[in-house]
Amino acid sequence: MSKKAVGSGSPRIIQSVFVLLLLSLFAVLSTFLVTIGAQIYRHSVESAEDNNNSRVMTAVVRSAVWAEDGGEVIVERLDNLDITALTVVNEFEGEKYYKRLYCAVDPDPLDGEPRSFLWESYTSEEAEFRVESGESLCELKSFVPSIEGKTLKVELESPNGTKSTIRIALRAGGAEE
Amino acid sequence: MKEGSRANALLVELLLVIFFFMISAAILVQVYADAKLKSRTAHATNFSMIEAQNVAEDLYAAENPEATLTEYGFTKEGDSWSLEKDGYFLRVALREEETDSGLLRTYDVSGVEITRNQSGEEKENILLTLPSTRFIPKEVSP
Repeated sequence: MSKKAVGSGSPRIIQSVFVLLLLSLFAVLSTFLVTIGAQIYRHSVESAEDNNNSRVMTAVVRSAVWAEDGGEVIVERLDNLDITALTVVNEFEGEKYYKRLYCAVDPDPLDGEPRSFLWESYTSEEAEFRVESGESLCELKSFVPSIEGKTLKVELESPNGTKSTIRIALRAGGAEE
Repeated sequence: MKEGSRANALLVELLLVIFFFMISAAILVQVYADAKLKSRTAHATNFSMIEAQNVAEDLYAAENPEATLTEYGFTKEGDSWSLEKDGYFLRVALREEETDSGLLRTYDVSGVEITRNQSGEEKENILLTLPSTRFIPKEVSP
């Protein structure tokens, strides 16, 4: 009697263990797949963010310089505001106009959180330069312009740490430091 | 007998579920691999574009373009110059056109990515090409 019970119970145990094993395999593989998917998704998003940041900040600076390349391009240090600006000076009817690209913290942020931006301002010689007189273009951590001969070099860093360097050959205008 | 057939049915059901899961997993892994490759290509395209713009600008301004390319780290390979970067390489090729009034010098700066096809062979994928053209006028005697 007892032998019969053992004989009929053993395959059932094996079957149950096999089912459990299959279920565990299913669970492990599902977790593995989800983990890999999450990693790839995160990597893709980070990479897309890096690409966007570097493309936006370099395109903004390049187009701003190319648009005004007819003027005199200078690197201007504004000690009172602790800002190094890339300035293009144009003269119309005897009056000088300054187009400045610079990086500064937003003095009046909408959400109250101080963040650093790339700014563009266009002012006449008579107008006093202030940070908020410009327009914020995109978020930027650092902006270091320099001029080597006829080549303008700008080192940029986005808020997430992506660094880019752009070099522009100044065509029409002269370059001064 | 009834219990046995129920257990068998459960087993078959589980096997079917795992079979479909495996098919879905195989498709998903392919999709993930594709996404990763596309992301890598986008990254290479973006950064090679920024680098190529810089090289094109420097070549436009350079009086001695070969010295500029050497300064960047380019090495000469036949008719072109190449520089290996992270995930891509830059290639510069020169085209010159002699005219009556001077020389039209064009440097084609390309961003190239190396990809492998399904049989494992390496293949060049040209991501972008930027021309940097400069006209060098001839000296005209008065």
